[in-house]
Amino acid sequence: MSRVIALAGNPNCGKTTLFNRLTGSSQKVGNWPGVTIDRKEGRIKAIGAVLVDLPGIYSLSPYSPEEVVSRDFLLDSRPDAIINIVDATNMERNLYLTSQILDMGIPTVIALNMMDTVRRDGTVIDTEKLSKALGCRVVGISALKGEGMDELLEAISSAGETPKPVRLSDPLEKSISEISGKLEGKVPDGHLRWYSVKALERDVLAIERIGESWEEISEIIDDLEKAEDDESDSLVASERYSSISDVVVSSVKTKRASGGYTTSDRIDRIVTNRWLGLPIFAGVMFLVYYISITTVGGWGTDWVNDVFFGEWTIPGAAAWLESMAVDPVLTAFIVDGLIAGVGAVLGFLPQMLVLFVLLVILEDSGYMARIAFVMDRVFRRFGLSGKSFIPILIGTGCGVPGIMASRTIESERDRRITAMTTTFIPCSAKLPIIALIAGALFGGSALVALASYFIGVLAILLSGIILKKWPSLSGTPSEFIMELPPYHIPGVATVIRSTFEKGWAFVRKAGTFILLACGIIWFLSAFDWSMSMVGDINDSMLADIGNAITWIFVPLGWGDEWQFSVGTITGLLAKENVVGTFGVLFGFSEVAESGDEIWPIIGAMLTPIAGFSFLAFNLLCAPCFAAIGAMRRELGTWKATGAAVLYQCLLAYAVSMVIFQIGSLLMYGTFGIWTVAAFATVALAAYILVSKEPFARARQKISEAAA
Amino acid sequence: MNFATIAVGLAVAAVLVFATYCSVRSFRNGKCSGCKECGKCKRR
Amino acid sequence: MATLREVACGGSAKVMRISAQGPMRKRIMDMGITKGCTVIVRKVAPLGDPMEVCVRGYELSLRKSEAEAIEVE
Repeated sequence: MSRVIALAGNPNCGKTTLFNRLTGSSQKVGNWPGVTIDRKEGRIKAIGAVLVDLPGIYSLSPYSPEEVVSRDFLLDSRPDAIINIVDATNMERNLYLTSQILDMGIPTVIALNMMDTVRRDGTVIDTEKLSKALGCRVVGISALKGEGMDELLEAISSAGETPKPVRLSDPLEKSISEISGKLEGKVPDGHLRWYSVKALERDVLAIERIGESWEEISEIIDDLEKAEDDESDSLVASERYSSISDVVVSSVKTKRASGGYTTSDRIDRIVTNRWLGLPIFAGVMFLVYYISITTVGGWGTDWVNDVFFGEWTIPGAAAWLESMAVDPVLTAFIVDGLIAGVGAVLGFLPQMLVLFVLLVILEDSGYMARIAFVMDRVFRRFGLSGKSFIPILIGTGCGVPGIMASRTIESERDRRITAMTTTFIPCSAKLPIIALIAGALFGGSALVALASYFIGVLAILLSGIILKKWPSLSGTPSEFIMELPPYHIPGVATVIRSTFEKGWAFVRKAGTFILLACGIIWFLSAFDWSMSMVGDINDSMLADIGNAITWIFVPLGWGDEWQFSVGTITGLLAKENVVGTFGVLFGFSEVAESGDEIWPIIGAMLTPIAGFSFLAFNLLCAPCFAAIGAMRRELGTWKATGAAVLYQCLLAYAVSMVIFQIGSLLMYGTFGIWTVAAFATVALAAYILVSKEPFARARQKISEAAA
Repeated sequence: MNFATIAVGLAVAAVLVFATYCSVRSFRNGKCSGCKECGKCKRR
Repeated sequence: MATLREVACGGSAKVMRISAQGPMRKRIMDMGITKGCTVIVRKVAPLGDPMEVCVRGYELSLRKSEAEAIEVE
């Protein structure tokens, strides 16, 4: 039987990096029973042991699921050893967890990470002294750079001694031994210290396991509290930190006095400043989109569309195939279907790459944490916390990791709401749609992109209010305590690698899903039901299918022509498909030859308002299947996922309708029954937002009907 | 139906089959979009 | 009793008591804010909330409502 080793540590201390280094490709991801937290496990080949990654935790309190899962694992599954990874640049707070781990009586090795940063700062850490003071081996490492790995592995293999627990003050230690006396024989010997200290803290889970002995123990604690004039949990926490402080002071020599202002602080003074913070943020985001969509990225895209596809690839492929006298149907399939469709999507690659680079830089530099900080107050008004903002920011790249990032939110309710609304923010796959509408109807203006993000954020905030009123999701807002890591200049290699990965994922998606979808779309649009080719696309199978559903979208302004509804439906597979479909249906290949693009065609079919309404619908409605799958994983059931998707579609429909109807009224003076419907929708929305229990009557009716 | 048509046709068919295979496989991998950001890809 | 909420930017205070209960209490203490330690208030975010403080050598974000549950002098 191989040894089982647990990996524990604070969030953000490099645990994942270390885990990856130790286990390489042998990782398996599963689930901890009863909770939606990932359980990662892998083999450390070098020493033939199994490494279990525990969730990042600051402490072993009985409250959050991550902590409970970790406690239970360490107590019940009793691993053979623990690697406690500690961030050397943040030792006191990290060692707080360590002191609790040492109480568990399992052989422990401390991996002191970020030693490269420590050296750069000029700080000197005496690991020998630390080892002696803490009673277990301390190995300095840099998981990022790969330093210290051998020593770490050696320390783990030879770890076998029960560590010495961190000693608290005399009065506390006295009470602890008294409690131990009462608990002896009632809990496993190795756990005696753990249960005694936790009982002293009045830890609810420990109390549960202790049972009847609690009465006598409670008296011991009361005496202590009277004598020290403080509550027991406060005493224990203070003393842990106090002991840790002594340990740290004796073994760490810093260059910089703590508490002083660092460069990070100076930057923050401006960036999170009361008055400048929001405008700076708006400015930064505008700049990001201006560079990626309108200017640098935009030029790239224009070149790819006009030259690469328009002059080279499409005419070239067509000519080559014709020269070989390939059957014209097959030629059309390849050129008008596959190449046109995929080409329309790949045309956006330049804009996406530029955007990815900028977003990676923002993320890596630490700016994103500041955004959460700044947005917290705004979000609280709408019932969410700033922590909900990070999944949203990640969602601007791809909704799937964005939805999964909602796991960092502790409050179950906030987590679910965030998971449901993250996809409102335009993901990179929706960018081509934005760029298309912007280019075709608004002269390529960057404001279209900005408006799209604005709509997304607004949808999220308003949904926050609306969903909080839905009974299964109400409650008080979650707490918001968060660390702000220091700013960090992103490494060029990291940025390039990240961008390349994202770019490649985009290309791969184009070459697979989208290729298939375009092939099918072409086929359906080129043939009629009797399987003969059609001259006019309006006679095709696809046109019939499109016409069957397009009436749904008439109030939204784009239901008159069937192509748009078809585009929207194909978007369910991958949002890029909307553009791909248009590439096929509007004959990207033909107009590419003539030097124009599909823009003028779309420009002729839609008014700017209708175009914007179309954009809004596709931005807000159900996300691609991959994202729906991710929502299912977070929400747990298909029923909940279905409800979420339904909500998104209804919201999308309502918003689009309001935009089109009221927009048309304002711009062209059109008025009709649907204009009235739009106003009614706005009124309904206002009612839901303002009233206290708008869904109470609806729920009553539903439960009456069920009874 | 000349030789060129058959050859090109087969090539295209092969590409499409491969594309289908990739799509299905990534669906099985937990409906991910292959972005690798979450570290959940079964293949590292 | 004055609370951390009332401390001005740039000011520091010594923690006397944590009046919060339950999970919030645990979180506050786990993050290093305990009786007797010194907290420096760095700044307040735009729109007034949350506030950024420095405790035991690192930066932390706290909501004003949480700061209210920390009594200081």
